[in-house]
Amino acid sequence: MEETKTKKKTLTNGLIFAITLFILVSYTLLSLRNGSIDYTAMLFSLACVALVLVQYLLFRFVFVNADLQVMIIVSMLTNIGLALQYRFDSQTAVKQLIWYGISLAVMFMIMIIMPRMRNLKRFGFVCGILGVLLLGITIVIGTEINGSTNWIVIKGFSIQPSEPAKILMILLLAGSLAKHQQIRRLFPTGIIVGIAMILLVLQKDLGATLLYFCTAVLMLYLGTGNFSVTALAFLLGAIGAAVSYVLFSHVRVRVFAWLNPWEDPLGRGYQLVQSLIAISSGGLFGMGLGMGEAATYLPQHESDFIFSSICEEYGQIIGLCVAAFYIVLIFRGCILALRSRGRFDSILCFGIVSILAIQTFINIGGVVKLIPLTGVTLPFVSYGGSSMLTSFALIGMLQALSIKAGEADEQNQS
Amino acid sequence: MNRINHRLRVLQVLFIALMIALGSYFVYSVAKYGKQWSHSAYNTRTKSGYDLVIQGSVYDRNGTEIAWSDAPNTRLYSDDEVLRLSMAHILGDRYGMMSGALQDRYANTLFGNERSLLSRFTESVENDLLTGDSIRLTIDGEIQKHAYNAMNGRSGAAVVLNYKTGEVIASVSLPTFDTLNLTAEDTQNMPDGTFINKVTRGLYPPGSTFKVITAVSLLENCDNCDALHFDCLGENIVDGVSVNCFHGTVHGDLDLNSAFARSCNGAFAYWAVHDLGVRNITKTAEAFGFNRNFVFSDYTINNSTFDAYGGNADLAWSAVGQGQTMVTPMHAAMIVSAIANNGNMCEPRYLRGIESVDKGFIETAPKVYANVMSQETAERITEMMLGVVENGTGSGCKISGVRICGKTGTAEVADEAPHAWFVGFIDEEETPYAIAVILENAGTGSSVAVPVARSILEKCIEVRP
Amino acid sequence: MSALKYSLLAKFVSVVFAALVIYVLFGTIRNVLIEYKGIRKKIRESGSGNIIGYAALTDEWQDEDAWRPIYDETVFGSSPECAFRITGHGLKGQHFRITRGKDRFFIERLCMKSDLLMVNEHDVRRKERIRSGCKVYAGDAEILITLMDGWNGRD
Repeated sequence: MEETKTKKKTLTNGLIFAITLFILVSYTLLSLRNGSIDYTAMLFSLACVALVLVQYLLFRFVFVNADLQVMIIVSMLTNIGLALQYRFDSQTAVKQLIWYGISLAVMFMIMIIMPRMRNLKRFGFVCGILGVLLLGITIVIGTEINGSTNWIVIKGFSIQPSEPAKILMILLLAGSLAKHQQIRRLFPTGIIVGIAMILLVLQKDLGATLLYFCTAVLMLYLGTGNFSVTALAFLLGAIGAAVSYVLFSHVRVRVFAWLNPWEDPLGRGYQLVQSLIAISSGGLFGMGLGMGEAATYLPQHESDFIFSSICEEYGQIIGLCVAAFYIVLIFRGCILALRSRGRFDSILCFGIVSILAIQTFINIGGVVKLIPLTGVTLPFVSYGGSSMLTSFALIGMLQALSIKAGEADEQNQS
Repeated sequence: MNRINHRLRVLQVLFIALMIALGSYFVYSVAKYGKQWSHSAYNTRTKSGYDLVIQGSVYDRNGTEIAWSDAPNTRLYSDDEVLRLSMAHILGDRYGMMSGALQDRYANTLFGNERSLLSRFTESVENDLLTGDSIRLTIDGEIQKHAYNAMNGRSGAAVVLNYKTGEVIASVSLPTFDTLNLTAEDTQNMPDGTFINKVTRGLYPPGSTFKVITAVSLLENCDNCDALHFDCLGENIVDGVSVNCFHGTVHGDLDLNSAFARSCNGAFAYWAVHDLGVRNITKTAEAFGFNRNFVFSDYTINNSTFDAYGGNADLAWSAVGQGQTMVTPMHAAMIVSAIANNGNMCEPRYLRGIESVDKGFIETAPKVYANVMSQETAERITEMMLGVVENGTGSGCKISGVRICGKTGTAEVADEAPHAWFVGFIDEEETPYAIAVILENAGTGSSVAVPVARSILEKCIEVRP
Repeated sequence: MSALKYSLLAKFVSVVFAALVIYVLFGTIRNVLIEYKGIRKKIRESGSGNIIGYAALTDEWQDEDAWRPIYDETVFGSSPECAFRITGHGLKGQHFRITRGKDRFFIERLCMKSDLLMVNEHDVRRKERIRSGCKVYAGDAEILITLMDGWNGRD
């Protein structure tokens, strides 16, 4: 047992070293892109390395029961994304770096505070109401960006309330599912979730709707184990989707673009066609960081279509690795849910994993033409302050639960 | 708690399975469609990558430079106008009017993408531009020009193959265009068919040249071919179907050899209906490549079709190359090549090899497409085809001292003059060439196509490419 | 640096990237799998089979962290080998055991008759049936048990 521990630790050091190397090499390469050496890139890389090392030290020595593997995965993903953002536009990359720093701080705060919070599960209902309010705000003072009205713009900073609302929603669901086993008692929760989804549909945020729906249904199954009720809820959702197809033209456009992008390659199918072209142009090893052309031809190449950009510049192999990282993250998260004691902890942990998993699936699936395009970002990698903040908050909660489980295990040994 | 754990496990497996499905779909669709996507017209990338490369040259088999570049994004062509005009369809045009021409097919090679990263890097250290590899074609420039001149401006196609190796010695399609001086407006005003390589994409009714296939089928399926016999009355009725010979010529009493030499429609129609049957003839045709999907590396060729299942009338006329049968000139040349080559049909190719900047000349190996008949049958039909030239419809092709075998064809076209066909080969070890010539709406095979073929074959004997 | 040199350099670096990323990926997968095997062992070591309920010392029942899981077969006692270790006066090394029948739960005496073992004011002779929410008195320790056959509001 001791030997495997040391074997693993050496490996972890090696992994952190590899990530650091990756950061340094990518920014060095980028600094050579335009004739003269770009020193900002070098500074940038040092900042990224610093963040990674600080995290590592904190995890190794302070947060001993937190999940180191998750931290490694998240760091790798974030830095792959950051390097690409820098390649696109150094200004947005700096913004992203700042968000990264803030998100890390938030993550650590959650990791400190949450294990001490005994009564989190009592606040489920409150969280739910808060969440609905957050979603409702954008209907009142929201601005429309890229076809969906779920943004709030304050002094040049745009935030998406539907992102933190995700967290509030799983708190709601975990709280009530932990408390009640009977379906009757779960109705109020269901109504709140329903209202949230309707608000999202009204704001034309199809991706978030799908995300909330799937997470809620899966958590429902986990909490109750009642197959028929889950199937019924799922059916309701499917009907809702069909209805929205009939009612809303923008849904029809998306579905058409998904089925026949090549029939309207300059109009409705443009984004998907360019995405597929970008993915295939990269070949196995990519066109080289800085050589891809997604920036010119593919809208939202830095946010929703970041995966296509990764395939184009880093290559399909690395694209596949990125997907694999998420798989490992999901696996690890589920193990954590199994380790957690208490219904609330387990269900909440699963909710976190569910959000990350479904978001990843919807994003990559859309970009690869497996499912229609929706406006969800790829966690950690896509550009987006709210997205990054929420994803790290979720990871923070995951780590907090890991700490809790770890401490409980220790207690049990003694 | 235990139940929750159980459900957690189920959901864990569900998630992992979903993601693996996603990954598999990704790998599958990229592997299958990736090339198509990146070659799509909406991909503007490939062209911009080429700004840094000097495209490699295209040479004919003897090393004559036909196309080359001295700077990125410019392409220069030979001063020899006849050479340019004759090579146009093989090279392709810069406006994308032709698809899949050789310079497109081998774009990766010509732009140096097949060179190793290391060699490209070393070159970049010294120069600011890369050089691409060059390609050497199987075409012989002299013969190509001669074939172009022999066709004398008439629409159609001519192709010469080396039947032992499958190399395409000459491939001309008319009407043609000038690769050097083509402007965007010109592309709109050219006559029909200018931008089609008729050698590989032109589908025509084979006319009497199809009797070669019918004859092979008879040789393979009849127990005693020498006993086959027909009395041609010029205007014949076979099983209630009227089958006339050309211009109503009365051929009289015929056996297989004489019917073939004189190209008697009635005889072959009768034998096809009475002694062969639609199944046998279809089987032979398909063995020769009809109704099959040709997938060759150098070019796209349209599939030849043969369908005689519409009753005796259909069978009768299909046996003499009318009906619904369609064939490309390239395929016609492939068919006679197989006969000349003991039943082995080689895959025709335009590429002799790649002149790699780093590794020198890399030759392409010949490939056999199929073995379509036995050597015995090949020898017999060779003799019959020799008869056509010695004392039959192809006598205009006789060259003294050389064994020339062939078959003429006059393919009837509704309301227009018939197409003139000639397919044949030189049955000599040192000059193993097969030829197919078609001149659209030009008249009879023996009067129009045969002189063209003879001229080209004479040149081949002289030059020995 | 000229555009050509950069493009070739970038292509070369792509291979380096792939190597690094694959290394990190496989390293992480390996670690996760190693830890996974370890966790399965942990569950097995701490008690055989599935969790059937929770137990805590009565004076700690408010504290969520004091509740420890009990399994299909869990031994309670003062010895460190016990799945559920309790310290206290009068507790034997292996004092009692909780087991599971088809859908009932049982408490079994593992110590001498002279040692104190009671369930809800009822003395445990050899093997008795217990229900969720019962209190077990062993030595001078008081233990609250919740079991899977009904929720009494705790977790």
